[in-house]
Amino acid sequence: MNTSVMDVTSALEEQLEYSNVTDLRQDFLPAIERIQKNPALRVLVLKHGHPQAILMSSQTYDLFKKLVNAILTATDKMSREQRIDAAFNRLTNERSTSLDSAMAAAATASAIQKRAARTIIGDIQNNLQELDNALQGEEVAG
Amino acid sequence: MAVELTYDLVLELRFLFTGQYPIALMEQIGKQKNEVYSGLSQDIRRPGMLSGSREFSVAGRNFLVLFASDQRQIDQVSDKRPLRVIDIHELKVSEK
Repeated sequence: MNTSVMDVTSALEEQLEYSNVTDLRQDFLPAIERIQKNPALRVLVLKHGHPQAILMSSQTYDLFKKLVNAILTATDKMSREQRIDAAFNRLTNERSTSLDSAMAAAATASAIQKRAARTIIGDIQNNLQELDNALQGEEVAG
Repeated sequence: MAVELTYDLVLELRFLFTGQYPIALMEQIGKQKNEVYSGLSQDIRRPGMLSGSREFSVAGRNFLVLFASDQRQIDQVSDKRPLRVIDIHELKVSEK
């Protein structure tokens, strides 16, 4: 996953509220008002802890319909072979995306290990310096 | 071995948003995923991909479903085999 995808994902998560059915029943009107004030806000309704439905502004829903319509209209204009090729391309692109995130995770792990190694080397250098000083002190005293 | 079934984005939209394909078809595909995976063969045009198709009948409608598996996406640690629904083509009576 690249940085921009991660930014969008985290931005979407920030606009998400969780509510169970019982709480939402009592908080329904205030929730609608919150959504009216902020159309990007969505309320994810949980039942027994599992996501069941989502409450969103009608503006956002209309936009979502437009988006779906645009995707499906573009697909409908393709021949069956083109549709299949496009679906294969999406599958292949997912592979490179997951490789990117695996590489990013590996790079992070490597950076953490380097930092840890530098700290250990620093500690060893300090200990050697202290030992050196102590030995020099003993020599002077002797 | 566990088969991990996913759908192409456009197909998911047609199942879950427009309702063009019946949800019962998703259920049938899900039930037969292991059998479908076992029947896949090397895709001649796409190296590293297995592919195959199978016909499903749901509520009097017939669908030809194209599957693929990207062998580079196999999770070797948990032995998960990916299976993607690539295309669904509704067969008309004349195509049967």
